[in-house]
Amino acid sequence: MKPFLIGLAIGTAILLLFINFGSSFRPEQPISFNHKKHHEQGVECATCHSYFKEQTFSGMPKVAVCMECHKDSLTNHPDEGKIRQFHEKGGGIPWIRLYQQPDHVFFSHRRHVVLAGMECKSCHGDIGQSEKPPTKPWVKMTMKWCMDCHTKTKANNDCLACHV
Amino acid sequence: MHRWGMVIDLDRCSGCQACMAACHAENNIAIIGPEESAMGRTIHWIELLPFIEGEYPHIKARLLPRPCMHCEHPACIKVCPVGATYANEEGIVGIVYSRCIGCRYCTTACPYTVRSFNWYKPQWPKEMEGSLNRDVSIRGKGVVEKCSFCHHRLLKARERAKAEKRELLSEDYIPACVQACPSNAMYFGDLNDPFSTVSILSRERRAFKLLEDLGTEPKVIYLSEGM
Repeated sequence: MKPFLIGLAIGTAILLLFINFGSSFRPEQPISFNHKKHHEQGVECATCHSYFKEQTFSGMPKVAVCMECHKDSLTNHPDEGKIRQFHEKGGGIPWIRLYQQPDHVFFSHRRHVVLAGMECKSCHGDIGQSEKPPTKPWVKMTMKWCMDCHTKTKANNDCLACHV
Repeated sequence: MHRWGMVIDLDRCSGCQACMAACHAENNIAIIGPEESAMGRTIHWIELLPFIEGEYPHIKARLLPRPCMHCEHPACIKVCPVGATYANEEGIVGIVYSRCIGCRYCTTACPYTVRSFNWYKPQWPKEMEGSLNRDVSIRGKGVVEKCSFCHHRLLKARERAKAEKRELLSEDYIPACVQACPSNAMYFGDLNDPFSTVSILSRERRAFKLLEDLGTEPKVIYLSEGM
């Protein structure tokens, strides 16, 4: 009995350690982007996320777009130099994608934003007011969550509408 | 409410298999090797069934293009234990791939044998990877798939109609096989509209359905003189 209890205690301790480590793990974006500051300067969402009105995806900011303003030093922020480094290196900024749909789900930004007239914040929260890049998605995109909204707005709730 | 249906004129069909090629490209259908094909493991959403009549050299080959019939009373739905296959409001029989457990009851139940099972992880040559259709999901190993009447095209057509602020017209939506047919042997449209081409053709003297006596009521109608 005693070795079993010791084993159980060690097992639980390791499990707790893993859970603790797992929850404290947050992906960090290559550049500490301040949405609020850009928003205040009058930069619109579509400037950096250029495709959400036409395509299924919205697109990550391209380094060339950043360079339009940040070619020369604008601020004292230590991350500003990184933009120019990424530009010189070529290959863009390695942004980390937070919102990922599994392969069997079809999601279209255009369908939601342009045709249904939804706002970005319905799924992305008050991202325009955030001063640091988010470390996790604003919502857990479960099927229930999608379907609840589809029911409420009387959108198409057919399986084939998303699972094509 | 629309009720989508297809008419295939066998007197016009030349058996060129353009519909099959178009379907494969449109729906990201996996390419199966020759040895696996010999075991009957190929995947086709539309297939040309050969009917050879007579003795050599006086043979006559009839080729019958066979997509999913999208039956009014589909046998596949009744046998699915997990509710992965269902008929939507417009009568299109769909599959939710992530729900399918691969039991293959439906492939056995379907009297038209339109359903294919993914025996292998789908693979394409490297050169083809960029040409896959983004609107259609890639089916993994262990699920059943079949023709969806290119349902993703219907969603796109609806999207376009909504952007142009008008009602969806039947002409807005046609599956890839119908679009590719070089001899205009295939028609697609709304069977609920009594004046649509498919409705008019379905009432023709030459019209018949496959295995009509089973009572499945297919929504694919064939036209042929003396079949």
